[in-house]
Amino acid sequence: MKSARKKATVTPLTPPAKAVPALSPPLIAGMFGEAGVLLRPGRADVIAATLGAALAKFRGQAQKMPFEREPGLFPVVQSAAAKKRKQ
Amino acid sequence: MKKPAKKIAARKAAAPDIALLGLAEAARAVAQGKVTSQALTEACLARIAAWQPRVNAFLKLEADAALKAAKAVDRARKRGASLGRLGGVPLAHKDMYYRAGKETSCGSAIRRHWKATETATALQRLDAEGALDLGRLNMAEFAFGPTGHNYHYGHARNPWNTDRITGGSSSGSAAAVAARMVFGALGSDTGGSIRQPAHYCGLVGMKPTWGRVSRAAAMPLSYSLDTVGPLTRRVEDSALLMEILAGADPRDPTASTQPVGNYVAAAKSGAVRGLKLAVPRRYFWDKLNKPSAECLEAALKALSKLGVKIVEMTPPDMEMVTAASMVMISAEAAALHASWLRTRPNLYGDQVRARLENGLAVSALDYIDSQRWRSEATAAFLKAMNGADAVFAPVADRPAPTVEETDVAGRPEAGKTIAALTRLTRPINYLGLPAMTVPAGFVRGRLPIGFQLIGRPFDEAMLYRIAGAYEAVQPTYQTLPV
Repeated sequence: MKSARKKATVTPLTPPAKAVPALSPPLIAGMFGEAGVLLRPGRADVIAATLGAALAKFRGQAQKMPFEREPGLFPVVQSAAAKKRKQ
Repeated sequence: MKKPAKKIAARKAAAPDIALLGLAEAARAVAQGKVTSQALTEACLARIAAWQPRVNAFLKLEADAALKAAKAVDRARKRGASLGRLGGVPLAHKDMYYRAGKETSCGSAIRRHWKATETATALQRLDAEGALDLGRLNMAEFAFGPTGHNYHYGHARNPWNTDRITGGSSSGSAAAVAARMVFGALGSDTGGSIRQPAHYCGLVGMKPTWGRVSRAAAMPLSYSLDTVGPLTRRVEDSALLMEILAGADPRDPTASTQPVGNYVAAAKSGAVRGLKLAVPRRYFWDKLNKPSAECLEAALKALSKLGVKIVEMTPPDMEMVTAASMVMISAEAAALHASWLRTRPNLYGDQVRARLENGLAVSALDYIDSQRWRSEATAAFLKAMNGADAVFAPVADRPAPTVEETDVAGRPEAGKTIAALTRLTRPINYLGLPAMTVPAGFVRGRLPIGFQLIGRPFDEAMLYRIAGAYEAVQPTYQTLPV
């Protein structure tokens, strides 16, 4: 009884934080299943390694974006040019 | 291709040297009656007969129709009718520009016998200026490959060395123009597909600002990144085609209404003294091989001698830009192809199928974030230019690799090989900026390389100004593949 209580106190209620891959092969399998596209053997691992690396990198940047940022190509550039003209 | 080639060889070849003229030069010669359009066309057909078996540039040749059109141009000139700025000049285009009633394969098995019901705005504009269309050019399957390999129609090969790749996806366009089979060709550029084959084949390749040229009735790959542009041998030729192609189009809501510049005048101006050119050593020079680096330094020196001020710039995180670009293209291309990936996956080549499948694993969240970050990344790049008129950068890390070493098909290392080939061009599509390959010179004997001029949004004229001045002192087009 004593040892069980001791074990409970050292075991955290949630798993410790660890690196989560941007894309795991089971997740990829699920997305292919949803799209109705045949996933060939070994492909999930390759996609996880290549696209996953790009996604992991980009998500770091995406988290820093302002809440109000809207999609678009040149709006920031054009507004800068407009400011310059006003000045 | 065999039957038409034999038929052409049997024709009496016109003086072959007129096929070596520049596009604008040829157009002027026809307009002034110094040469007939028929003679130009026959000269091109003779070049095609000689080069097609070596480089596999054409998927379909329409020799009889082109000759008929050429004769009509010659008759019109005799009557004193206006011929247009491209009157009687033979061109040919990547097989992804639709022409009503004609088959457009898009380099694929899936669309092998598909007939278009409308004509691309880009083709309509060239037609309206009197250009002739000699046929359909080879390309990477669905424009989604940077090497020039095509497992359905045969690989295109580099006229400078047929063991080497043309680059892609505008592989046939580059091979045909470099081998002097036609005077110019349309390509498309989503991640480097005009600039990179232009680099490997010694050509001028213009990727305009996103939205500068209408994409109506051109095969889409990635709406946010696709651009339409020309491959030519000379800067003036590219400028002429761009003046004709650029501008608003009611058929393409993304085509910009910004005024079109005087590109030909800019290309011929030679006025570059005092311009500021920024050189981003970080990222762009990281993997450059020694002969290429030496050639580019010589080009910078030549520009400096012309009075261009060369300054260093520190670009923003280009690895991040590349990652964002990969998210965007993967998602958009997969969305377009999802239906065929479900129903006809076996009709794709291994390389293209594998690349398209990537996009099925991109979430809506990541895709939207790649759109949200875009303007910020572009603004950061323009800020890093620090008032420079344009950026000077390599197009690729080396001259053309061999067909064999890049034949990765669907193998696991394919992703890395492809990413390495496009790492210097792909980020610029994400930024939406105009960028142009200018032939710099030759390395390792006779392998051409180019440099990339990157400009501000809709400032293609600046790129033509610098490129034209460089070409005047370094006329690489005078050297021919043999």
